[in-house]
Amino acid sequence: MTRAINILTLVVLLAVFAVLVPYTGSFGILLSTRILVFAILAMSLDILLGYTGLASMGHAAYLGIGAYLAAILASKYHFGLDWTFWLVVVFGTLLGAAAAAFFGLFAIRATGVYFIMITLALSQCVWGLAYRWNSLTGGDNGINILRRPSVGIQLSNNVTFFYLVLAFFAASLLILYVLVRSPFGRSLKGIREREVRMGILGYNVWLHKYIAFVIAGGFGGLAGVLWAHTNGIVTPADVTIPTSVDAPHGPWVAIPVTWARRRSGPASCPAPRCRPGCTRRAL
Amino acid sequence: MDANFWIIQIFNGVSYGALLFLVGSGLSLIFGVMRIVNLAHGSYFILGGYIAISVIATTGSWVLSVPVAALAVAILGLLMERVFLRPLGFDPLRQVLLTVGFSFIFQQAALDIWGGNNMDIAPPAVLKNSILVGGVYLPAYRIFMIALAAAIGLVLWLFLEKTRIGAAVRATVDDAQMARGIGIDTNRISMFIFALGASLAAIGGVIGGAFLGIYPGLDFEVLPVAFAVVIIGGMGSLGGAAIGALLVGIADDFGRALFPELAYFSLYAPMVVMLAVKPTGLFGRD
Repeated sequence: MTRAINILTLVVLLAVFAVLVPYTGSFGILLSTRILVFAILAMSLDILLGYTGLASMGHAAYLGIGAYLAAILASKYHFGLDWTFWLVVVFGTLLGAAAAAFFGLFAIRATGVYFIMITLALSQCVWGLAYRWNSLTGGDNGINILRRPSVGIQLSNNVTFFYLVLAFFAASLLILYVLVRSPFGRSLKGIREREVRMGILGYNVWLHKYIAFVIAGGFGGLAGVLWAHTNGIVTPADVTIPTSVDAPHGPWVAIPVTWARRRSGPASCPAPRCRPGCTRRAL
Repeated sequence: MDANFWIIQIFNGVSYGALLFLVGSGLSLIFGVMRIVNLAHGSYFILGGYIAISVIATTGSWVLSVPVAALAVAILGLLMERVFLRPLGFDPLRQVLLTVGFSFIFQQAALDIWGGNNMDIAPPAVLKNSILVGGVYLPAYRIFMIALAAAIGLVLWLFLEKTRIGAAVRATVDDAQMARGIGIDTNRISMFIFALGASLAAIGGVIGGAFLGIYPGLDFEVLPVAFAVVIIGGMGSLGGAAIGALLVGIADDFGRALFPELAYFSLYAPMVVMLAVKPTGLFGRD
């Protein structure tokens, strides 16, 4: 019953949000759009951070990969400015997932502090390419996207674009909500709580973490495509450490995340701690 | 590309490595002793630079600015460690979020106090000359940097290897629980090491400010490079930090000179591989 009430409240809040935002002026509309894009990024990170207990410090990499894909296709090939925008959304998601699938091969091997470090290093690799590969990424100046796509409807209108992003946000929320309540999502939580025990129970811990990593990367890529078209410019600053950190930090972002997750987050349910140097014996 | 090109590139790489050693050794010691991933370390670097700028502006003395910046940032680090990090416990994620939160606060504070312009730290006139060594003109300042880093490294090494407190520090790095068991006050050790690491980063900021400049955002440029040094060398090892700093400095310099488009990639990709293959680094101990 409480779950039904929670979902209902969330839907009502989103509906109120959707109705009110167009009256907040151009700044408010753009800000709300950015909040929603970052909410998608934060939810995707939450799959790793909140559910699987993997503290990724490099989530900006996927935002950057999606954003640069959209920007490069739009500025160099004029691709993705009409109905092909939907293709770019799919490509951005797939590329984010593909990058995560590659990065995951390195990152999932590491645990704890080393996982934090390796995800940081991976996102710095992406940043380094964005910053220095001038011929592709425009270097420090970034890439300007001259106009938003028109997919039958004109997305250059900020309100229209806000509703598009809202739709993507709602869809992502729904998909991730179903995902974390699925048996797969349950086993991710199990890994967060007692990794060793899950292994002993016969779960393939590595594979679960890897799939979670790939899914998170995919939604990160989706957020990146939307981020590029929200701002009309993509720069290396989008791929820096502060972006990675903003993802879990942004107070606004925390609202939908907390709602979706309810009481199961790391804040209310800390993972078992292991002092350095000791072996985790308790199963 | 004659021999001079290679000599100058290696020299530049080594001098950049000398700077990285100052930042990386502190970070490495802090991690080794406390297992804290300190994302505010870049902020210590940049704050050291800014404080030096203020000291030079008021007193006109560059020599004075180094100890003042080191001391001020050491106190700042000490407060951070005592008031916030120590009560937080050993959860790496919380430490990361706390220290990165601090680095944002420091960044904003620096922006409010010193403004957003690119500032320069002018070294004494003696160090502005170039010295002719074997047919190549080398800037005196970079030679000074190498000498200073070597001197600090030597002092640190003597301190860690030859003194009683140094032995206690090494014991804490190897096994903090055991060290506590035999009566070493690891609490005090970690306090001391945190202040030391912060002041080393601040000295790096003063020294590096002369050729990098000091500007907002530099903290988050220095930080990942410092981590690359620590990761490649091995956390908690002074020798590792030295080797890591040299490798990263030279790799970075050659990367910029030979394939500029991949310059940073060529720096961070080895870090990824190192973390995946041997997370304890070249010289780190488990």
